[in-house]
Amino acid sequence: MGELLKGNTPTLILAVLEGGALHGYAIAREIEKRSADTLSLGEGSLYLVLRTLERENFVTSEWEPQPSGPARRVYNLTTSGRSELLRREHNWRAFADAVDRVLPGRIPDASLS
Amino acid sequence: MPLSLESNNDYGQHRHRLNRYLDDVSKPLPEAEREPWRTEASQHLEAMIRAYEELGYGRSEAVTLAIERFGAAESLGFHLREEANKGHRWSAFRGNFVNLITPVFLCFTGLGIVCLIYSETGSESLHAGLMTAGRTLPFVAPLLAGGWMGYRLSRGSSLRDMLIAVFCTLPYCLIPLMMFVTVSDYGWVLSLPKIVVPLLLWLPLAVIGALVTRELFHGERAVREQA
Repeated sequence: MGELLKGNTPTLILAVLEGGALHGYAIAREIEKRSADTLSLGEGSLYLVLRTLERENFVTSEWEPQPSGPARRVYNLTTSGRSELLRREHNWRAFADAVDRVLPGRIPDASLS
Repeated sequence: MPLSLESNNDYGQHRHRLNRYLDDVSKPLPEAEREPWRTEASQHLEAMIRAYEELGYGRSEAVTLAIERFGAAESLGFHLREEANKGHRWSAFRGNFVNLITPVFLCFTGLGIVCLIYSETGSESLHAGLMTAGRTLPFVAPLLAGGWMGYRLSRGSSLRDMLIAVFCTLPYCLIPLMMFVTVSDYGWVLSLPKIVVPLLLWLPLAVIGALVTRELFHGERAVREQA
């Protein structure tokens, strides 16, 4: 699971940012929430992926003033980020379908084995 | 009152741990990015600590868990720096300034040590010591440079950047070779085509140095990570 998660962290981040601007902590929590606590990121490495996505112009960031306390850095999806998300989503679905076709489908829940 | 003093003291200790962790992560980053990163990471860690405290953990445990979950400081700092340097011209050199300078520094330290040893043990003058040191440097330098490369590799540096750093030490092995080594001492070496000389001397020694330190420090790192 770890390697799969690592390879798909950019996709997950782009997907949660599609709903609107979020700061790093909220991105991590949103991924956890949507995956029902199955996908848990290394929180520091999240910023590594965010920096890469920002360099590739898939996300932008800005410091947003807070009503109380210091400003927070929030991340936004760009137009090319949306296209990248679609491309990644398409690739993932194709990959998951292919794996599904190969697997005999006899283990519905890995925890039962 | 004593209780409040104690909890203030406790808070100070946890703050100090967090600050030390943030220092370790942000140390390798380019200066302009250090402060924004610290602010962002600090806010994230504090939110994690609050979440752990809400789950019933004590402050100390919450800080430990948050730091653990955030990731190993050294590796995270290194990868963030790598990322910060990407896209810049000469990024491999900018990002690896310390890695470039250290083998060179080690080479000259080696030269100094050999100089001292030879000028004190024998009856030769410092000049003779220098001559001997000069002959030794082409052998010592690649070992030290390779050793440094192995050490950095064991700490998570990329092989490409380390190779660039070690190749930069090549002139430091060749210059003394050309300056100090006499034809009578190493005639067989100088009779070879010039390109063969560094390959013969420098490359195998650098590889040996790298392999030895990598093995030494890789083992130590594995033990630390397990702990």
